[in-house]
Amino acid sequence: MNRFLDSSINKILFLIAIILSLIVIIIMTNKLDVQVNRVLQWPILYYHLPLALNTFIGCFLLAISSLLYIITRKNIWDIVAKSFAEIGFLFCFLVLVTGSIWGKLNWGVFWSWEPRLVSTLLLFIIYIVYFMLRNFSEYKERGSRLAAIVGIIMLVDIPIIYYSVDMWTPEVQLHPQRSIRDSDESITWILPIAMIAFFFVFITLFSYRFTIEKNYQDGKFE
Amino acid sequence: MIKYLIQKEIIIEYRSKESIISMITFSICLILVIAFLIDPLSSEFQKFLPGLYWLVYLFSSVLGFLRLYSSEKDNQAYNLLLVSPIDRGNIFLSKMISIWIFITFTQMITLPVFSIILNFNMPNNYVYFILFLLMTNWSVSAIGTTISAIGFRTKMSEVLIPMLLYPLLSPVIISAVQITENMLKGYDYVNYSLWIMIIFTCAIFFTLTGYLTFDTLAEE
Repeated sequence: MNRFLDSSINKILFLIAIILSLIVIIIMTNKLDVQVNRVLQWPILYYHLPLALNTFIGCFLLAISSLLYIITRKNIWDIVAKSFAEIGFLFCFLVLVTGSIWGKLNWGVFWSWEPRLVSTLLLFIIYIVYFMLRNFSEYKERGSRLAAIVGIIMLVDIPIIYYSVDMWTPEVQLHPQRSIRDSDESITWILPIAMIAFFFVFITLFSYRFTIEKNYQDGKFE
Repeated sequence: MIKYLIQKEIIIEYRSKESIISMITFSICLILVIAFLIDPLSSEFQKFLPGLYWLVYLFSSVLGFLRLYSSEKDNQAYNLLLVSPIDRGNIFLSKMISIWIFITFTQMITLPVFSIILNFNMPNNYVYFILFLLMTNWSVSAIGTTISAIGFRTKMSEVLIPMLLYPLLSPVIISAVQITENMLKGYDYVNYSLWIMIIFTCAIFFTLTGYLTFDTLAEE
């Protein structure tokens, strides 16, 4: 059985993820006590936005691994796609949850029916159907094949989420626009750090899930 | 070859009339429910009509997609179709074009019924409106044909097809509602060109995805 921390790459990934996450947490907590109203306004950008962007990256990686599975038909790509899908699903769920909590504090409601929220919810539903397709197919290979195609089709929702704030006029939307980085100078340097930190968290979680799934499919579980 | 495949689909539909009759009847039932639900003569109700029309359309077209492949499950007709010396992309295209014809035919009947029962004034620029309807039908049929090909081979096809279809169709339906509203108000093309672009992109993307991946989808 391969353990997660047996491989040296995983050890490095795990360390980088922990260190970067700690840096982000320290920056966030330092920023928190600057001004009272900022407590509600800005810290969301250090976890909500990186989570959302890593959901996009997860979708792209899922689509690429699904495409490679369809082309090569090697089981390893199916395991990669499944692991990416599960971690992407987790990140998408966290985007919705953190956004809702922030929305309750700022807008007074947990959920508002506007384009960006709805398109993210659609991505969440497509993820659910992706896992349903895997589980409800008559045999495993067919489930993997059908799910791979859904994994590619899912990509169509990403530009919709990204550009959704432009489609309606800004006055009718609560969700901030894409030009939010112009509003605060500190965002320009903290955001990249947070994004890289969450990316490493994503990759580490993926690697962990991949190791488990690989062991499971090779029958190596004790 | 596509011509014969489409001919086959249309002959089957002409003899059985399964999907068209069920789609039309279901649409009319939904329209009647809406008419009983809210007073169609009130002026506040008028602004919801574009959305309600596309809702009726969405629900009824799913019946067509559920029948699209499952009608060929009997006597292993689908497997025979797959072993015949046809490019599998062509099978997808023929299915897509035939369901496009069925949906358009259904719409030709249900749209006048909707407009009569619910007092829905059609947009004045008929040519553009009809072109827009045809394009939306193309987009919806491309998405629906791909999704039903994915869904019908699973154990829970009746559940999975609508569950996957509604999220993927929602950009198209939202755009269609916006375009219809703009057209009803008599606005210029500039105001809704973005929405047309979304429908068009979905149509092209899903036609290509379906055409290129149908070979993989249709495997045993």
